[in-house]
Amino acid sequence: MKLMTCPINGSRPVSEFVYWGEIRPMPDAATCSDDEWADYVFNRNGAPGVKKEWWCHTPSNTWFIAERDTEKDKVLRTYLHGEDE
Amino acid sequence: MNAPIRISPLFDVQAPLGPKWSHVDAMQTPASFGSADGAKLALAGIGDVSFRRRAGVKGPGAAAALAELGIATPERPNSFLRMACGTLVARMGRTEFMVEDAAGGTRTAQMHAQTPGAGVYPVPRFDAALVVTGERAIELFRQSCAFDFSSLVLPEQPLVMTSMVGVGVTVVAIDDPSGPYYRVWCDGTYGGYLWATLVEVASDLGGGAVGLEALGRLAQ
Amino acid sequence: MRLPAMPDEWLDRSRAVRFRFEGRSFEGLTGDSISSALWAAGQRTLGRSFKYHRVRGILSAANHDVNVMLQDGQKLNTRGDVIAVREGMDLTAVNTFGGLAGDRARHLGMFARFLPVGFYYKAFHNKRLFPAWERLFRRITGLGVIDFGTPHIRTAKSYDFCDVLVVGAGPSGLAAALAAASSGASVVICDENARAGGSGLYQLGADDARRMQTRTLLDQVRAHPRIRLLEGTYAAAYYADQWVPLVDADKMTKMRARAVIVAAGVFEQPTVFRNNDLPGVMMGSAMQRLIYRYAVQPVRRAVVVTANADGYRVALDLLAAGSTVASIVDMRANVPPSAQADALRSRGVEILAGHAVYEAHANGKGELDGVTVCRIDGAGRVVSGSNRSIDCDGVAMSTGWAPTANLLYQAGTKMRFDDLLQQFVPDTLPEGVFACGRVNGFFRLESRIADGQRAGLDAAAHAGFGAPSDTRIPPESEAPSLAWPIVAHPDGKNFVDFDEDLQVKDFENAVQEGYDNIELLKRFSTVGMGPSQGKHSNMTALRILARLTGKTPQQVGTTTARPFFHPVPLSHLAGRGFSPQRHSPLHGRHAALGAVFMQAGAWERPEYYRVEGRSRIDCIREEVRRVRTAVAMIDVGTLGKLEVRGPQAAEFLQRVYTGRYDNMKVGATRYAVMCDESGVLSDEGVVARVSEDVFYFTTTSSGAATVYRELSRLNIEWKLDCGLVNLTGAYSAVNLAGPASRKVLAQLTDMDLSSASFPYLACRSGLVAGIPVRMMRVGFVGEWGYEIHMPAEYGPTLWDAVMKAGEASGIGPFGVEAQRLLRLEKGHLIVSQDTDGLTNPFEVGMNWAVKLDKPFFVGQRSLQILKQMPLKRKLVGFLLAQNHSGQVPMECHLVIHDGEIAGRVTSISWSPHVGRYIGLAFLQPSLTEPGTPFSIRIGDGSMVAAEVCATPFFDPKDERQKEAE
Repeated sequence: MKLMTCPINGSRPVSEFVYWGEIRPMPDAATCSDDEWADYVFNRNGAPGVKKEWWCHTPSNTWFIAERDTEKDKVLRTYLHGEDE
Repeated sequence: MNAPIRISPLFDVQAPLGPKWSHVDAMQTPASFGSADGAKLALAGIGDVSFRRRAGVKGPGAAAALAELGIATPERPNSFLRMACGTLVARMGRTEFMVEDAAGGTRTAQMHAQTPGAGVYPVPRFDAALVVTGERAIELFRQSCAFDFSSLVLPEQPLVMTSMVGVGVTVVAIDDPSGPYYRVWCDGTYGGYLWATLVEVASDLGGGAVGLEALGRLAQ
Repeated sequence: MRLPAMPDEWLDRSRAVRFRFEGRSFEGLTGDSISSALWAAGQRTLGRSFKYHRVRGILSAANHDVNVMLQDGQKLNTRGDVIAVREGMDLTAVNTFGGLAGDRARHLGMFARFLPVGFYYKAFHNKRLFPAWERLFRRITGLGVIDFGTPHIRTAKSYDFCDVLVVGAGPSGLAAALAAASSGASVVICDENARAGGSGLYQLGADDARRMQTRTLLDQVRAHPRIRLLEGTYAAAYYADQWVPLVDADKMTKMRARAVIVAAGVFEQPTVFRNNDLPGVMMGSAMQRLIYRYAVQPVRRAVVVTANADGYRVALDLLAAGSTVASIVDMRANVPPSAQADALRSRGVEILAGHAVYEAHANGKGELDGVTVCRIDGAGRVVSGSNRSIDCDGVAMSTGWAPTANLLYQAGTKMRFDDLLQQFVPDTLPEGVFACGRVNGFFRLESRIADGQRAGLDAAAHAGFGAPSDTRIPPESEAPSLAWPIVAHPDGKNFVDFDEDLQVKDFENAVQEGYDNIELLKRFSTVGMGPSQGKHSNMTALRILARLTGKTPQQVGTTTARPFFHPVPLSHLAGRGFSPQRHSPLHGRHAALGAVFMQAGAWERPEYYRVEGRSRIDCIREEVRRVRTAVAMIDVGTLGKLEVRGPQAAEFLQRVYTGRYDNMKVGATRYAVMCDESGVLSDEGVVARVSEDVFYFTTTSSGAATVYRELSRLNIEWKLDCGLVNLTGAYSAVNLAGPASRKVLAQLTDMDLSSASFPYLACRSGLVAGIPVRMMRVGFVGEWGYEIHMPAEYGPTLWDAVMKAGEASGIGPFGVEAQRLLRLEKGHLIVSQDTDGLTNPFEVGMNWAVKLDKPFFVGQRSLQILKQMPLKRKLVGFLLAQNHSGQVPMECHLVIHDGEIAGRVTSISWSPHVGRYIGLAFLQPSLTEPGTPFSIRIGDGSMVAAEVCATPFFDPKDERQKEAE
């Protein structure tokens, strides 16, 4: 089983975590078109590459960001939201 | 009116075993499961200290709120300390704390009485609280949890939040002259399952459920 | 024949073991494998082959020898070469009809031409004949007989941890373990064999100095405080991030290492010639194992067919065991000079270079009694007219090896075919994975040990101990494997795959039929799909395919190596399963009242309370009657219970729910609907304003954990000045409902329960039975009632107090089923029963709960868009006919209109109040006017008439919530 590193609780099997999804900027609801909004809500980019994702360590309910290279299947780094240097 | 009776989250799973009961802090708790308690304790004992009163607090102002009440807080995230009065203070992550009274202690009552200030969020806690003892405790954890408890550095008073038999738990490892032992807390509604499963695994290792009499000072 | 004691034998000569095989009594020694005990006793026929039921003996004795598969009582798939013989065992060979000797299927081989390659596919292709073939195959295939009375065995399963895991305890693995441990790493080294040492203790060439080198390493490993040696334990697979399941006789251990070293060695491969499967023909290494592990003389008079230095050592070991070596048949044109060859020549052993075994001959029992050898040319072709017969009762095959690279492949190692070695070797290893020894292409003993030391240092450095090695091991100069170990024969029976009885011509035919890719060839021919999973056949198949298609082995490539490396008993895999059960603090009270529990997510909840002598449905209807006419109590502690506190708590709720909360008065409650970003209704509950800055709110039982988690995330993202606390497990909750509820509660509290001071939908805090509670006046079931929330540890005490106070009013408990009916009568939906993954609030008539004019809430933009679009469906109430008899529709039955699907039933139940079946259904908008008739198609395909009806079915004006003055 793969390991994931929680910035607070350390390295744990991935079964202790929940994956939320990629962080994507929300378009301005007031100004965007219906199509732009629908694209944001329904479409996801599955192309391999480095993704910033929300993950949660469930026993401690710790949310954090993981930067993951989905092509190499490797977690590059993890940090708490807003603590990216 | 008398103080209402507190019921342990483990009562339903313990009662069928017919232990000798005792009443501590208005909660019925097993005093003894039989003459083998002592032997089980030495190998892999599962004790119940749910009766201890506990209270939690979290948020950016939590540490200061505790300090106001004279409650010390651990310096590092995921560690615990024991105050001179016997109160156990656990720090989960950065800004969440759990305080557990020693026998007759009033720290948690003081916390309940305190009006929460800015950034202070009280967390009522009615956990199932276990004591895991014995020379085969590590083996017990190996059969129930993917975390390596042997990697803990006991003098650092470590605290671990992980998943045990599929249940989210908070564990502290306590260094003791008689050998290390562990305190395990989980949501009370999962308590029966956690307790029964750990007792079953412990039984395979020559241990099992133990009462307060055998636990002695380990129940402190 | 048993030999005098060997220095590293696995036997305990003081303890004999008596057992039965095929009805006959045998005696072996403690430590014997089943195969070695039988062989020592002179038993040569040990099994029957899978397809042709040919007589088979020992092939490899290397833990993957499928010739000897036995049934041991209730245990199937007992492998004769792995399992130690036990006192009292009663063994039978699998895959025989009427016993090993007189197997009625033994003549199947004569029909071989009717069983061509791809036979199964061809047979199954005909639909009409399929059932007949299936019956036949089911009868003649399968290995052993299942006893359905076998007891359930619960095996422990455990996790374990180390810095460096070494797989394989031969010379290179032992050296690796020592080097890693000397760097400071904690090391676990495992070996599938009952004892460690690997080939270092049996591939000796009668040279004791070789044995002592391994012996010394083994003694050091045993003595090292940082090394744990696990014998009789195999690494079953490789999973991500150095996770390796270790399997022993009793259990599976999930080992997490920081670095993994694969020192798994090589499998010896059969030489392919006619009748290479006769008992007596075996791998050279099998003979060495018999000699040094079990002190068994393998054969009396042997021919050694070889193409490498290993075969010469086999010959010397045979001589040392007192056997005669009739001839060494070296398939290479020239024999490289060596001390071993000189020693053999000096002892009068004939060495035939450029020769091969053309065919083997059987005696009357089907066992080996001689071979015909021939000359071969440089391409491996038989030179005609060069045949010559040699009498022998044994042939040792030593013409090549295949790497035990299973775990390396699973880890994602890129392998490269080395032309000199004629072997695949690791080219690029994944991070944290290391290889050494023969699997890494080093065959000389000193190179293997040096390579092990290198890998040990490298792995320890990866795990954070010491520095990596800078040693370079000189490459091999002599090929350990022959490029073409295959001898053509017009009459075939030159076996490539012993598991599946595949011959050379099967591959030729498969390629001719177009299956010329290794993966296709495997599936069509079934090569490597037997119990040994190609450990003795894949490499030869690959060589044949390469030659037939004019490719190199590198170009042909290998098939995918999947877990497990060795068959793992299902009891080991199952182990002790963990499926957490969640119990409300009131669980014991429910059980005492006769509750019949149902699973609801992790929770066990009372479905209803059983009353002696009453049917389930009568019990439920009595519970309903009690709520409507008297008073009853239900445990609602499974609801998600959250608190948000802080100056921006209201703002937080404004953003996560569709309604308005900033204008709520303290002490009020409000229904709340949550949507996801696409506007789909995801959860619902009740929000209570406890104080200016504190809101207490509930979620659905099933949504509790995920809603809390997602709200925590949003709180981080939005950085509002408020904090979220999950009270789901900390609080117990009950709903006390019914006309008498107020009267009952009044006995237990000093709180003013009058409508003026505690109106419908209000929230109050106070003491009930001395217990601090939060109470809400709710109407989910349509009666006057109180949802009482209290600390979990007081739940049972409060329950008891209420039950006692309600005795005179006829109180009783009610379960989930009664509640479902009561709320249905009231027209309340249940999220995820009456909604699905696409339902938006407009479809379920909740426009009133959606405040699109707020600045922002999750799902708002999507709902704005949806609001402009016509509804696709609508949730409505419906009734069946007054006098409906016959089958009743069920949830999810479809509504059919004009032959098309026009909706579905989401809830249905008999309503005592209405006196008819009532329900909720999604319908297309054209059908939703009250009074519209429609049809529901039920399970048997017939139609049931129904009619749309306004909701609530019961008390539409909430009269029951008004104080009766």
